Amino acid sequence: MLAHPFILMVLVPAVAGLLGYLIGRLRNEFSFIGTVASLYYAIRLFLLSRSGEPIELTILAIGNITAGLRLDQLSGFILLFISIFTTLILFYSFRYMRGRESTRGFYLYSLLILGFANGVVLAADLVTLFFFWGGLLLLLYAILLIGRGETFRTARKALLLVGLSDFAMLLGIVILIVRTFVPGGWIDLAPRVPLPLYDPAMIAGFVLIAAGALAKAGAMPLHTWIPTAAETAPVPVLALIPAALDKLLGIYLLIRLTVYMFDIASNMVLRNVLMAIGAGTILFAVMMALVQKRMMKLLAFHAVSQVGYMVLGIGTGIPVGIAGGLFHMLNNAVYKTGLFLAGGSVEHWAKTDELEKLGGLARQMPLSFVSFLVCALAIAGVPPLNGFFSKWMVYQGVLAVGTEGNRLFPVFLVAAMFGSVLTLASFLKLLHALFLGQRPAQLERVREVPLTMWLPPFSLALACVVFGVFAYQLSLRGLIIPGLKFHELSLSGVWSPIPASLLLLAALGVGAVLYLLSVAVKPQAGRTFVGGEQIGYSEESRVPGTAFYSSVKHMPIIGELLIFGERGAFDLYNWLVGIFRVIGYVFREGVDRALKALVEFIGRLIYYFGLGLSRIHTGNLPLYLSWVFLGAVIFYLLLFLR
Amino acid sequence: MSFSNWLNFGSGNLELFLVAVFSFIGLMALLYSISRVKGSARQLTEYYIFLLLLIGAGVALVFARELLLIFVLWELATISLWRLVSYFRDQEAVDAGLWALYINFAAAAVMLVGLVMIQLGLGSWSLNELRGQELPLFPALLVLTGIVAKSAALPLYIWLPRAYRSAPASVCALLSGLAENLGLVLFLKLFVQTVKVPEQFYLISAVLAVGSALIAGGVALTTRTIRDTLAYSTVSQLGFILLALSVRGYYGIASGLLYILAHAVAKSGLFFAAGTVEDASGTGELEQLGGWARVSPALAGATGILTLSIMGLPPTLGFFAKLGVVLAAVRSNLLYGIGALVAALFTMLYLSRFYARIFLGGGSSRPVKISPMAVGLVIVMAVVSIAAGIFWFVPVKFFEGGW
Repeated sequence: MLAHPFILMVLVPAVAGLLGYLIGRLRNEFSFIGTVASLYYAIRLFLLSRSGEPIELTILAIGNITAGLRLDQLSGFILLFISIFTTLILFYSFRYMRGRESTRGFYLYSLLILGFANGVVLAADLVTLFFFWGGLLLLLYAILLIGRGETFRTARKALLLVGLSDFAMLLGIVILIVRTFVPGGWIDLAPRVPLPLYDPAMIAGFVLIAAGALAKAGAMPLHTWIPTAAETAPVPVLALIPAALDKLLGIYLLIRLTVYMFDIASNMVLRNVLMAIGAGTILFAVMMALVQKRMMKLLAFHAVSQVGYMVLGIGTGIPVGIAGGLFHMLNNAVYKTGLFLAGGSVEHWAKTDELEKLGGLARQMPLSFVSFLVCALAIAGVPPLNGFFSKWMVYQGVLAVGTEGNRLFPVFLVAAMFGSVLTLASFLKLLHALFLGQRPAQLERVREVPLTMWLPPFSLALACVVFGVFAYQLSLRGLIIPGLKFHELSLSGVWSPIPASLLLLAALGVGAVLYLLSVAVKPQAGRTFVGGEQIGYSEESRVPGTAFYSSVKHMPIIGELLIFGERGAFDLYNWLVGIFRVIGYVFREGVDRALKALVEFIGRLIYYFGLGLSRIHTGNLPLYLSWVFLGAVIFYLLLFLR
Repeated sequence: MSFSNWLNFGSGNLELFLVAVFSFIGLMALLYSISRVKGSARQLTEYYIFLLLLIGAGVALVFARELLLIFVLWELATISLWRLVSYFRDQEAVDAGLWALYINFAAAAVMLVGLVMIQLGLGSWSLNELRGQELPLFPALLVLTGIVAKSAALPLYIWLPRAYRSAPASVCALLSGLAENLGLVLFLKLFVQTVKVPEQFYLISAVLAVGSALIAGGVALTTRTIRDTLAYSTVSQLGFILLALSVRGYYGIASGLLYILAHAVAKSGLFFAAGTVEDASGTGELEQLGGWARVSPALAGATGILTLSIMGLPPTLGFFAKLGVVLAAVRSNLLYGIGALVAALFTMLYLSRFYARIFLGGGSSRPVKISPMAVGLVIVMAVVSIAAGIFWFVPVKFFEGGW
């Protein structure tokens, strides 16, 4: 059984990680072998899964509960991308992590994460899934301890927030096992038909497990560890977990819940809740992103904001919306990983990710610039890139909800579209701050990063184009639709990516020709005079990207909310920590101290009782005789009075 | 009233399982004592006599089939505990030993009244003869008082943190792994295997169990020393086991027994690690510790696995045990399940803080002498936790149906 490819998917990366940890000299080699082996098996399993017949492997059967692994079309698709992303990110980190501290732990944890993530996706039932899911929680804690600054706090924050959702999920699983009308529990991740959501126990289980899935994906309100991690964790960790794997796993579980196990379309209240969470996440996180002053934190807020689209799409409960949500998950993983890696290249040379100190690097780092630009346009939803297509599908889903008579749909639609505009705005800021504008003096000697560092983001940027232009042929037909068990999607509206892309290309070409031919648009460098004196280039005259949109903070209500948000007033973590402190204090002072005082009080009573008795025993015979006499009088009185 | 055959022992797979756990913990505590407990020859003689007496009383109690015999062994364990807790003979240790003795003794006296009422009401001391009979609520509650004191549940747990503060680490390990489980063993033998008690009784014990899991977990969030954290953690974890046994059913009993194994192994391992750290750095204040992962990576790794087992995270045995307890609790009453999960969240928080404060972060990384024996024992415990986590179904298949 150990040689079964399912088991190997979990074991091979883990063993490679452990070997690399123990034999430090061959760490990169072992990590490479581990990820490539995982990729090899993932491709094999993906091809196997295309047949449409699920493949099962039972690990254990106790009573009427069986635990096992299973491969179907959805898990084949997710497995493939987990391995692809991990391979790319590890390839990138061989150079990036060189010479940094805790590289040893980094490779061990990333490979273990790969193994456990494979396990989550291969799990056939919720108990097996939770086994791997819990392991991931721990590895998240461990990997967040790597980095600079107070990593310890980041790791604890993540542990508390993700752990809270994991315990909610555990409760949900347990409710589905023992409190539903299905004998043995409704825990199979891909039963023959999904159940409608009417039964209260089923709804409770669904809500609790969905909370775990949403927290994993990074939706509000359990997302706040992600921006904190951006301050301390190294780039490959950010690219691996919040950008790529967490989205894949969280949305994977959400799809399993809403499409496979239950039929989300049957419960309008839950759909509205999901859509509201999605829309709220989009707007709030993107606003926070607008005013950030550090690149990684800005990207981290976008990693949160984009989840909103996926949740919104899945929450519609309409096939096209759900497919759009799943497609957006894939697209987001592609461009967000690309953005983190390309941004990381800048940070690698500049040794800082503060926007204040960056700028004008397009000429020095052309390949990173192009990758970043394409990914930024994709996340902003500019056609014909992939981000546009999946957002468009999500919008269609929301519109279709409107035709079902849901009156809230305009709110969701406007939130999603407005979020898209703000995304574009914040990436204009980032592009200006990193690659355009004037270059600070200390960045003169920055060069393009080596091949192993520019190739991963570049290939991801290429994927953004390919997934966008060939959206129907490649992504939807090949990956998304088979994974969702929908036979056909009804896409209304007209958007044909290939002709549109050709037209766009032609337009861009014409523009380029005009630009090259025209002399008039050549920029002219003038001299600057201040107070009659000519000034040359100086640091003071530079416009860094941080100034963009800082006026948002002066807007009446939104501005104040943003300022509160930056101080952590909406951070659930701060609230939770406060509550736990109060609970601990109350229990310690109110119960523990009180019990101790009570025991001491009883002890004292006994002591004084003994003391009183010893006072009476003076050794004086007349006193004893008088006691005896008194006692006899009382005795006889009692006897006669009866 | 016949006393002629009061020395009556008996065993099934379930008893064998418990005895295997207890003897294993006893053996480990002995090995740790040999390497770490120092003292004059006279002190050591007394120490080992009472250590072995405690282990022997525990093992015999598991096999005993007569209530009177159980009571005698119970008191034997209490007396050994008293001497072991006050091993160091300073004022703190003497007081702690006396607290343990007084509270356990008083509760055992109440329990004795209950046992006598059982014998007078049902006509026998023998568990074999009592099987299936109906026991009224009042004597059952009297017996529960003794159990609550011995197994350190709310509201009589108060002697335990004090004992842990001053006892040698090996004694703490034995307390968590053996002595405190004796109350649960009696609960299992009397109220689960043998007599029928009104439902209110199980309601009371389950509420006490959830209460001690929650309250001790909450207190552990605020503790400042290694010993205090582990002490309140033990109270909290024993609450989980008592909850599992109170809700009964297949899941409840099986997971309660698994939890006894998981907790005994992990907590005694943690005490070995704590003792090693305290001896080497001379302090048990969490604020002053740190950086031990660099001092001893092996100890850090093994302790990490043990904390995971108590937190209930995979791939350790604690995960399956906790999952089973929550399953049983939710099946019986959703509120128990939620209480248990909140307590489990507390466990995760205080143990992650505990681990991070000792092993992570800066702190002095000056070279210290660490006993390889102690580190080896912690590693053994970690290996057992993982191995039992992978093969958790082996003990379940072994003892299932023994109730």
